Amino acid sequence: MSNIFECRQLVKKYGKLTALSGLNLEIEPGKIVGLLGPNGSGKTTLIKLIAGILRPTSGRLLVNRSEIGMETKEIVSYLPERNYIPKYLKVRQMIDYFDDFYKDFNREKAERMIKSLSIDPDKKIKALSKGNLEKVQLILVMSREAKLYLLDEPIAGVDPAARDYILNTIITNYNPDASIIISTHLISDIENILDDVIMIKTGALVMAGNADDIREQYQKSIDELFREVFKC
Amino acid sequence: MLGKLLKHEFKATARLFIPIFIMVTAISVAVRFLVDILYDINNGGTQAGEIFSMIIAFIFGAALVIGMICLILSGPAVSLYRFYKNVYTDEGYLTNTLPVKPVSILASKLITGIVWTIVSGAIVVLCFLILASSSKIILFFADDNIYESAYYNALFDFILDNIWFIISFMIFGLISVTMSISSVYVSVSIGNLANRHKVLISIAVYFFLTIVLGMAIGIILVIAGTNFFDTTNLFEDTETFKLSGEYTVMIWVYSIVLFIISLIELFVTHLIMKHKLNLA
Repeated sequence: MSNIFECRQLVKKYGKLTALSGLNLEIEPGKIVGLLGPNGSGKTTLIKLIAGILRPTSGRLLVNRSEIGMETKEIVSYLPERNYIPKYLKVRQMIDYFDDFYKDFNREKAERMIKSLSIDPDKKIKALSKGNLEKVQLILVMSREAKLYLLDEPIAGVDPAARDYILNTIITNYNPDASIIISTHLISDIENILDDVIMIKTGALVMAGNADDIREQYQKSIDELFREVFKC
Repeated sequence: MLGKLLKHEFKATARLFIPIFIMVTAISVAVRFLVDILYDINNGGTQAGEIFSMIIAFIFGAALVIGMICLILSGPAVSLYRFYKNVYTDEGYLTNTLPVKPVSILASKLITGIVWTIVSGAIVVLCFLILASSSKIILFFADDNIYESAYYNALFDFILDNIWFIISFMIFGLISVTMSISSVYVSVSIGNLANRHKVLISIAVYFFLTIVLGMAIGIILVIAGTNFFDTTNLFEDTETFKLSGEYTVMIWVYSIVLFIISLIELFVTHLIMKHKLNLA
């Protein structure tokens, strides 16, 4: 089976600062992958490169065997680590927006999930609480039947109850043939749902592989291993 | 997909433009009827009536002028704000991950900006027509007692005599607006290439471009043998205020130069959006 994502000798520099230094990675379809690393390790840079909002300095980046462009954006569903929805729009208008642009958007699913959270679709985005805003963004992203989901720090900055909701939404709503890349440094919360793990440090690969195999090999949980590898 | 982008772009910008349109048109209608009423008060002969009417006329006149300036500037201003906000800030995370070509994003912003500028221009013309529909508007400021029919005849004659010039000048205005917008787009896009101080760099690039392009345009116009700012031969006939054909030709030369510059700026903007996007 061909990889849903791969990169070869991927380098990204911001001026003199090297964010990614010759990264080589492969991700198979149907996997939930934890992209793990401390702050500043290059997780967000890698995700932005896959989403197409940054361009690499050098190296190759393929999604479903295509270079990053319109074709890959059709099959990649991206949740950034920030609020990116225009604040003057209503929740319903945002659903319309996704419905208009993404062929794989399941409107019914999105409306059902919004309703289950008792969020008024006619409420403006700026009137939503921080937790509800994050949930609405996640609902929009997970209501797409994409082939690759990119979730950048989806559980950072929300309370534990919202964290449970977010993780549950991810697990129950993703297309089983698709892959998910979740970047986080809150490993204990997501360890149980991960199939594969990628650990990066200062833009270079530290470890990559099956989560169960890594646990067995090191006789440690991923969380414990992370704390050991990235000990300050 | 361009159609969908345009639909959402027009929806997003209409909420800014429609209230300005309604406000300026309403002020124009109010001024038009006020002028008639105030003219009668003014002609009543009392000094108090005269002062009162002048004060009211001044307040509404000033409101109308401010409203019209806002209207004229709002097209390009909203266009640059939408482009910057929608492409290069947090909203860019949504815009630039849509399955659409960068050229469509650029076109949707530019077309919307130009269309709103045309509509704004049309509203300004409409406001002037509303004002001009009162023959007393000129009598209010001038003591000459001209007959109403003479006033309307003079107005129509001026438009008919100079129709080709008016059309040329409108096209020139449109191209100028396109160049203003594309200069801002390219400046913002070049600013985005930097990893820090993006806004500051964008502003610096804009001023640099304005100065350099201003000088380049001046040189090109001199080489082409035209001087846009020389108004000595502006009128072919000073009796009827018919504008000279030579001046219309100059406007066309100027328009073509501006159009070519706009195309280059848009090409560079597209190149950056496509190959050098750098959303930090």
